Amino acid sequence: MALLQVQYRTFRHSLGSSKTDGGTRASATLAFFWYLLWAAAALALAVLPNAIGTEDVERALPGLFLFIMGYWQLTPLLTLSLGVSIDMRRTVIYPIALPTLFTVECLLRLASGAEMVIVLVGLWVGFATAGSMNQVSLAAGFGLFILLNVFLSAAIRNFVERMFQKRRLREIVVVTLICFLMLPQALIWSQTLRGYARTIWVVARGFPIQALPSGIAADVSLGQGVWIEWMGLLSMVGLAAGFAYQQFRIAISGFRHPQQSAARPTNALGARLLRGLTAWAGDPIAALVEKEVRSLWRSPRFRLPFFMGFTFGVFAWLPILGFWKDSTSAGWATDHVVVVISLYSFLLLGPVMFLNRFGFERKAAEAYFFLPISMRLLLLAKNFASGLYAMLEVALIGLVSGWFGMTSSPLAVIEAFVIGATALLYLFTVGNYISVRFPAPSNPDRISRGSGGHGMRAAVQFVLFPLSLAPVAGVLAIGALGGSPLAYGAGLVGAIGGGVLLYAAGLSSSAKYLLLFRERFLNSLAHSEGLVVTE
Amino acid sequence: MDDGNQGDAGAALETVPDSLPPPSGDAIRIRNLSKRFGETVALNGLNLAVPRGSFFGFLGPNGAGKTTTIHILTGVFEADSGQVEVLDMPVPNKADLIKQWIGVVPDDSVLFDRLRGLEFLEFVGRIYGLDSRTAMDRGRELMELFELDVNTNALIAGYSKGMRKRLSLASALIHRPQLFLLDEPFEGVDPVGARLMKDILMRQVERGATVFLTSHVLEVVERLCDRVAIIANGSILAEGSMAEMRSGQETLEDLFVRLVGGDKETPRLDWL
Repeated sequence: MALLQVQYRTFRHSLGSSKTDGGTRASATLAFFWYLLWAAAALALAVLPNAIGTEDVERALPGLFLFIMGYWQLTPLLTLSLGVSIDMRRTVIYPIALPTLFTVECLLRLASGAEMVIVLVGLWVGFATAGSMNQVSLAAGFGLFILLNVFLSAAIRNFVERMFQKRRLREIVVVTLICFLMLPQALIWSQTLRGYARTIWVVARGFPIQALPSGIAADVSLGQGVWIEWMGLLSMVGLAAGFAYQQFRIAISGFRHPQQSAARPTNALGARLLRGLTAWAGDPIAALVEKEVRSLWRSPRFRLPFFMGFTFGVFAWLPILGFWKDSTSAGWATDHVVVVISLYSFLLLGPVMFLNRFGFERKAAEAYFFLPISMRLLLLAKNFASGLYAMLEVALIGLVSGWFGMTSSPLAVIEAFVIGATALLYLFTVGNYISVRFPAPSNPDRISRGSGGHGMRAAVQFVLFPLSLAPVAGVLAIGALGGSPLAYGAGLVGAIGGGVLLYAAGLSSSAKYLLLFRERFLNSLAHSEGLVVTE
Repeated sequence: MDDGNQGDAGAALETVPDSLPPPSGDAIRIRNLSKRFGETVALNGLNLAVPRGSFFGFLGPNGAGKTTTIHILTGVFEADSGQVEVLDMPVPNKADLIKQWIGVVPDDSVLFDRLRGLEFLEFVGRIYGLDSRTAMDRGRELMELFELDVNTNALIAGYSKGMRKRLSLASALIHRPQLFLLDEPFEGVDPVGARLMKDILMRQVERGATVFLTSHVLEVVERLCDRVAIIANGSILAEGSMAEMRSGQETLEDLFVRLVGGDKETPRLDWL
């Protein structure tokens, strides 16, 4: 209880000032609508068994439970957010019994799956009021299913977090996992592999989902479970609890701060290449850019979305492009696949590369104010470093897309560089604006990401960031809708001109703001996350 | 590292000529300086003069305003009112120029975690206007001098608190500044490291630089500083040479405790 109280107070104090009240409201509104959506789904499920009879809903229950379990366990991994967790470093010095800490961890996992709990409550109400169900089986089945999910998510979270302590392994694991999940889409897109996809579909359709834990839980809930299913479900809950407790214990006793890992030796070639790329600018810009490039690359939180851009990004867009292949704008889609995926990867990199450029530095950002550095040059250098990575991302997307046969035209890749650079002008402008006005401390070692902050920051980010790609989207729309090359070119020139003007004005404005409000800026970056970390 | 090595590295640093005009007057002049954070008064009409070439100790209890003063001197914070001059230049008007001539060791080691020690020193050197080669050469010498060259591949994120402080001081030295603003520089540093840092700072004062340091450790201040000021609640309570401060039977600690109101009996808790 004390643990939760400390976290509540930390959270409350971080929101407490009147300056953030507007942001808190915005954040609460977003959360309200999100949970309202799930509440509506729950309401529909509560009404459904009474409206159409329980039979159809009963038939769909194993599938529904499978969806719920998948959402609860996999969505955090797919969104790279592992939910809230106890910061072990801050609890081990206190005499708190391990089971107590584990209970808090389980409560946090229950909170992470709040949407699914809402849906399950709706379903349970629907069945319970339908009248024809065995109420004991229903309550026990639903209860055991929730427990199974809570324990399993606690185990998976700690296991994954522990795996991620190993340098670079975390990125490889996550990228592989995500690409594996996207593989069916890749198979469906690729004409030569469609045959395999059909086979996979046949096998998947024939798979008895009743045999899965979700299916067994559904059978038990509906009162259709035989004793072996009851035993099976109880055993699974017990095993999940044991696994979760074991992983939690290992996480506490074997916790090693990721920062303690040894760094790789200096790559002389890389250092020379970097120096060559920045030499034209001279110091202090060159020194700042080199520092930024090194710092970003050594931050797992940056590396993961960077790798995802040219792996997951390509897989994710395959089915959409496959759909386009059969449409009237097929030629356009094939020519612009690198552009579309590049823009998508920029959005993926947004939180670390554009929107919170001082987050990783946290309190160290103070150095910028006592070192002889102009704020304008500082932002310019940060943008330039981000730009280098963005262009490298475009090149890699071009290579991977070419490898998969999605594009074969070098011109398409060159166009992607031009469009990408144009988009960057707008993204940098918005990113600088948000980075200096709403800075938030961020741990470069945690590869999972939060919701992008809370309060006004989240609201501004939610509106401005996608909007910043509107000029480029407009140019692409001209091409997609069959506009003449002249109109397309004119649109592009207009977007570049507008971007340059906007960037120049935004850069000066953000630099001035940074200098004027440096105390507030540094204060925001020095905040602690509290005992329970939101990720 | 033995003394010989330290001497070599130190000598190499001292071969770089000064570019600042010869020292004259005070290195720091502060008049009626005030600063508030919301309802909290951090500095309340502070007056202070730090002579050039002095080793100046700035003492005070927690929350007295020491760090705020350093933040204002370095241009990190802006004063609400009052005048501040550093190296005969007004703050904040000439802050950009002043920054070229000062070396700062902040309270919490303000270091970029994702860089290696040498990379950080090279970065700071280049920001201070040194060319890349010079910054790298000096960085190597400083790494050696501060005994940070054991694991050159380690990121700063993996440094201990003492190593971070030593690196912080090394970065403050790389451009051979005229004024050092050091906030608790020996906090968390082991005795060997502290001795090393003290020797280096003493050498800087010998060459004419000014050192302005804050500390809770009175013994350190007593041993190093030739002038001292005691601050509490944002105002200077006493200022003078070390000899003046230690007049009579009173030690610096006695004076400090008496001035900041800590000479009352420690209450006893029944349950403790």
